[in-house]
Amino acid sequence: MRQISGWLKAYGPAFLIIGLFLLVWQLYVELGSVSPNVLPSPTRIFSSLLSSWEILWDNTLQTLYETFIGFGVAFALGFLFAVLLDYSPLIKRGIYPLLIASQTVPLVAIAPLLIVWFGFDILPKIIIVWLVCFFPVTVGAVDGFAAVDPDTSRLFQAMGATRREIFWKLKVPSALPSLFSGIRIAITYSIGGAILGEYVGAEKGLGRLISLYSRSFSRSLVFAVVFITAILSLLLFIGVTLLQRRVMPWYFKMRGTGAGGRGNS
Amino acid sequence: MTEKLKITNLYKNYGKLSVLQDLSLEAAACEFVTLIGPSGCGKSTLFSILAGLETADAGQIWYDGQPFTPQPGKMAYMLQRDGLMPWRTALDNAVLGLELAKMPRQQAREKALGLFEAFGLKGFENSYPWQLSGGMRQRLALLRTVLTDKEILLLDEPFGALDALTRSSLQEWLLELQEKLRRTILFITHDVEEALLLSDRVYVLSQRPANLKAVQVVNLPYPRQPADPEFVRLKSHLLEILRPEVQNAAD
Repeated sequence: MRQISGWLKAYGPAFLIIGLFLLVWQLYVELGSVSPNVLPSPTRIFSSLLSSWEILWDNTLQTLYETFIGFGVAFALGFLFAVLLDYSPLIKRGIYPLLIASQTVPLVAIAPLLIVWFGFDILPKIIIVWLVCFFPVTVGAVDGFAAVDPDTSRLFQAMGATRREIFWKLKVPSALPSLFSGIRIAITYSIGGAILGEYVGAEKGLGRLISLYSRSFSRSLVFAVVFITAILSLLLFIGVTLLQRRVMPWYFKMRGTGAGGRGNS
Repeated sequence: MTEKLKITNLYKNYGKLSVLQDLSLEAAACEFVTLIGPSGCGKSTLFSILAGLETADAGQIWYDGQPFTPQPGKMAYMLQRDGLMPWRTALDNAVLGLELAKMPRQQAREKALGLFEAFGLKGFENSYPWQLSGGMRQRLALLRTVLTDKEILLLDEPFGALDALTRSSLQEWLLELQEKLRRTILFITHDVEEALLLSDRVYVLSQRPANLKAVQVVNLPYPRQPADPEFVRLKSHLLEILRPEVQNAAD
């Protein structure tokens, strides 16, 4: 019971606002007699969602598949890259600015090129998801590694710890809070990346559905896909947060007690 | 009395900056030796060298009468900041040194648990460091230091960041503990009273580059009283020696 009331307190306001928003939307469309081709009402979107459920679900799986692979690659490479940057200050100074500059390149410009280079298959989508996720994961890990307490590091050395032990027992745990912040950002954007890739050219996926439905003026189905996208991003975000609670329960307890800062001093 | 640790004519420079200059000192087995000197005079550099984190440019170190090259893991080293890891419980923090020395986990935990009571940490084995008070954190850091069974403890201002009350109770407690532990302790402080309360011998170091200004053997019985006339005399004597150093350092 206490848990339920806790959840209500935490998430009740968000649900209330979403509910109000949908209600106003519904009333605006019905009372203002807006054409459903311009703006479909929430109930209309919902009924399209139900009637086309199978095809939507099928394409959702495709998008999720691309997202997971792209994110997985981005996580693995981003982590390794961060280790490299942390290992060599010289490489860090040389490459970090490039990494930041790479983020200013608009993906809408890159996406069609990737299709030209790699075809309509799954690869260009994975690359786009990777491009979206790589930066936040890398920055999260690099900042995390840099946050290691220098005194604790000295202590490890004085106790005869090897570089490997310092890495796994000190650097990685120290980096986790920052790394997870990066992962949360990456995972939230990853679905959008996959959809962009599909939108430009694909045989399957939510992005392709958006392109298809837009051209056939099925507005309510476009909105249905948008709705699914939002739900997916939210679920992934929640998933990462739950994972973080499992991996570093101490962090949430520490923040819960208000035992300030990094608790490292 | 055989010397546990003997340092002769130690030099250390960082580039052109001379930090240790012809520094010699010694500590007998189970002796409590304090190094006192102005802030930034190079005391911590000496500990870094002894802990094997840095190398001296010149000089000799003797351990049990044998020439000795410091290496990590030979002496137990404790810094002013406790360096406790917030993701580990008190027990898991305590066993760090044993863990790095490859002692089996269960054995390390049992060994640590045996000392929690003496360190006033009983009942807090599964607490996280951020749930402990400043004094408890420092005792836990010392437990982690002591647990590795090194004969020589290097304590670099372990009580420097504590409030006066906690500090004074930890000083008393450390003396009681030393009765049982019987380790050779090198202790850095810049508090003259702390040095006189705790140690058998006080080395007064000059400002940087650190060399020896004076040695004072303290023959007062424990527990020592700061109001005791001899204590007061020694204190003003040491302060007198330190004063020009501190003033020069400030200039």
